[in-house]
Amino acid sequence: MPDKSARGGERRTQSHFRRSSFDKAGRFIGETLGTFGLPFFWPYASMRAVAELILNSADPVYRGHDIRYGDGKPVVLVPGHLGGDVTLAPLAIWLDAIGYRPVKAQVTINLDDRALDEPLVTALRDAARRIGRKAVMIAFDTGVRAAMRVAAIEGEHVSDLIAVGLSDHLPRVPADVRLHVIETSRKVAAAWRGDIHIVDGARTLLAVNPAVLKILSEILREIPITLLPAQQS
Amino acid sequence: MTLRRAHVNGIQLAYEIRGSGPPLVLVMGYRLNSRAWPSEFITALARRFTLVLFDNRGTGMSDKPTSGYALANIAKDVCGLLDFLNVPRAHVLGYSMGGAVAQELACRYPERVHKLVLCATLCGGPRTVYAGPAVISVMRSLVGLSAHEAAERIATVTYAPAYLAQNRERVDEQMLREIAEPTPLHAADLQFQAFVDFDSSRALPDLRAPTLVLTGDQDRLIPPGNAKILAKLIPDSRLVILPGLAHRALWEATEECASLIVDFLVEAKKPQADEGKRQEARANAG
Repeated sequence: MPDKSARGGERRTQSHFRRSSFDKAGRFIGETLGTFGLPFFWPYASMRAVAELILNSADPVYRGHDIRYGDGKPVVLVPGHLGGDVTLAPLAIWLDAIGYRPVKAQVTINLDDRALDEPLVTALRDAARRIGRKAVMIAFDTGVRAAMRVAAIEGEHVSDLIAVGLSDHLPRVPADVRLHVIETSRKVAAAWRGDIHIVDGARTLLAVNPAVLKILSEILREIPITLLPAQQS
Repeated sequence: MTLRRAHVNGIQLAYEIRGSGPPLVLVMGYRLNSRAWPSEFITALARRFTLVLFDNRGTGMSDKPTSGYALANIAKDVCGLLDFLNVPRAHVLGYSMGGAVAQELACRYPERVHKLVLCATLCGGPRTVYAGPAVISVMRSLVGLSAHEAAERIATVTYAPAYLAQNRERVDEQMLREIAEPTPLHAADLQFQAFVDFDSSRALPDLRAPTLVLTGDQDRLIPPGNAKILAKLIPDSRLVILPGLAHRALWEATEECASLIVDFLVEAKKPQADEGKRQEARANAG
């Protein structure tokens, strides 16, 4: 005889699965619209981004001109919505060339920032222990949420978080982690309580925006080295 | 060797005094400490000079703070050490990054420097002749390597290949001495950063100290073009480019280098740089 309670459980599981799938899809759509705006504007935004890319392509910042050299800090790169390690590769190459040690978050594509926590913890711990210093995280839009969550539990491995483009529903910044913010939207910037750098340009191109790169280099340069306890002894 | 310690510029610097005669301060290069000087070189110089050997901040037995590695500040360390030792004026010899520190010292504290010897070094700034990408990549890919592995890797670009092939045992022995007290990664990184930031090109035309610029024509790390620029910018300078020698010229031809340096330091020639030469050097500085 079939077990009624088991069948009820199955039904509950199915409905839970359906609900959670809907939740995920809803959240994904919300994040996509929040990050890239309404689809109606996408063709215009894409053309603007291409024009920006072409106009900035010869910027001397890419060649390290007028950029102060780094001190070899480990820098963990956290991609934003629909971004991944590949989209941050140009930034990683540039950071390496100016004297830092960029580390990938091991994220193929960021569809849901909650999935980033685990690979990010691993990448952060590995980087900090390998170099013997606290790392800096550079996170983009929804990746900032994941970076903040990870920073809250990994305070002994991270000294600073640089948020490039903010998203909503941000968790609290841990007290022992310094937060620096770079943002394009003046509306968001006006609402932000704390230091913020405002730049012009498309949100989708922040990782290769010369003004952002320049600010990143200045922030990174000012961050003092914090050795892990094992290195201090 | 027994190193003593002096409290200087907010840190403890390890130093040692050898020989007798006029004081000569030796400033070591990137990542190395005072035990890295070739022993025959020290012996030869100690016959004529009172040598002040010390470990740069971040190396050897000196403190290894996480700040203060700007070369101007390391020059301040040296100046503080001279104060501590009651040495009002000394000859200064700097090798590689130590040569940059020596330039900072001579430009910022001209009254403390009698004669200057710059070995395998550069003046920084826009006209610097940089090492090729292959050499840079060797110097920058040292994370995760043991001190011995890192030293072996660096040796491939600092010694001339022929010398390395013929003197493997000697190089290994030298390497073991250098890594006995390895330089921590943060100190090496901060030294490298400071060396990249360094630029004395505008200050050198006003340098008063007679200067010997010494380099090897096979130097791949700091190509000899840099020595030529230094010689152009320093009004009272003498340029010697030794054939067949690389960045480790002092180790590869110790006797020849020691003899050149001693001859230069003991010669009783009066400073030659007149205002005309200074003007020419300033024009070279652009």
